[in-house]
Amino acid sequence: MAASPVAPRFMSTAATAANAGSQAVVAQAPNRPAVWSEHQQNKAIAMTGARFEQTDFDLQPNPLSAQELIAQVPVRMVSARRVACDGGGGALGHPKVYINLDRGEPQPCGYCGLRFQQEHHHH
Amino acid sequence: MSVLAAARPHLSITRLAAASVMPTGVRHVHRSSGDSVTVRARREQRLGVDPEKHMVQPVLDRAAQEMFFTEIIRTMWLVLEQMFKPPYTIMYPQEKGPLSPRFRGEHALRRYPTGEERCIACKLCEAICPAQAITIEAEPREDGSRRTTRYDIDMTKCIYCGFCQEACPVDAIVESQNFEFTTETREELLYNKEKLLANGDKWEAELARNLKADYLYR
Repeated sequence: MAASPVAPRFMSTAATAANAGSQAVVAQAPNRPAVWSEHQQNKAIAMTGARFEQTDFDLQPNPLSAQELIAQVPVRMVSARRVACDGGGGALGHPKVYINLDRGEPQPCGYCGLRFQQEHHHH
Repeated sequence: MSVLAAARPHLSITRLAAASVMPTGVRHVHRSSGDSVTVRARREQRLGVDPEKHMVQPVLDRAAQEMFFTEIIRTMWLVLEQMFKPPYTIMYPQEKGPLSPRFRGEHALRRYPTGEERCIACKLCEAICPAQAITIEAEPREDGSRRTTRYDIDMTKCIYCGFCQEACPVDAIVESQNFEFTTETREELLYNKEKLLANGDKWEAELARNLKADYLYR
């Protein structure tokens, strides 16, 4: 295999395991290098244990990490102690939930991840 | 004719039985006597009601004249209309036929406009799937949000019934209008979350338009 000039497109399990070191640079998502859940499997070792026909990550679907995207949305400051979130769009959003903001820190909506915080009043 | 004659006594009895229920003069007198239907029919026969009264024409002839004849005329008119229309064939791979907003094709996982995944791992789709094609594992993310870590659909098991998108409370799992997702290997039809999310990103404009067009009727 070392003599072959191009990387083989089809590899056995043993070959994949042997090349695991070279695949360690695979990012979990285009906007996120590492995993975002405790027991989430790293993509670098995802293709071991079974035989995969095609192990080229450039040809695999690679969507953006939702955690990084929602973290870029600014916190919404509201004046009320309680805020309702229905995801927007009426029936096209999510079930309406009321979020208590008494804690004074950004509270995320459990459905759509939007963060709300109560404005501090000087009175 | 022998068949009709053999069937006629039975026909006349039933006809009389049906007629005896009608609330007309003489029959009304006998109604409270508690007779069975057969006895009432015999009594009518004895009273001289002609059992052939309603049989002025065989039933089949009548049906043929009333229904089939106009059917033939209407069909021939349709054929005549088509003869003067230009024939049209869709050039399929380049040109697609129209699809309903309710069309159920390849699956996709949608996102909110902010980029957050809609799926909250409630597993209603997994529970309702009659083919048990969906597998979900969930775990809290680093930011505390509970989302799926695994969302697999075995597209070889899926029967495209649409129950998953009906069960979904947040319109996360939907069936897109894409029906051209043939693969060379069976393994490519075992969709994971990355594939479904990529589908959702690819078809989001169509998916949102379809849901908007149809949400009043769901």
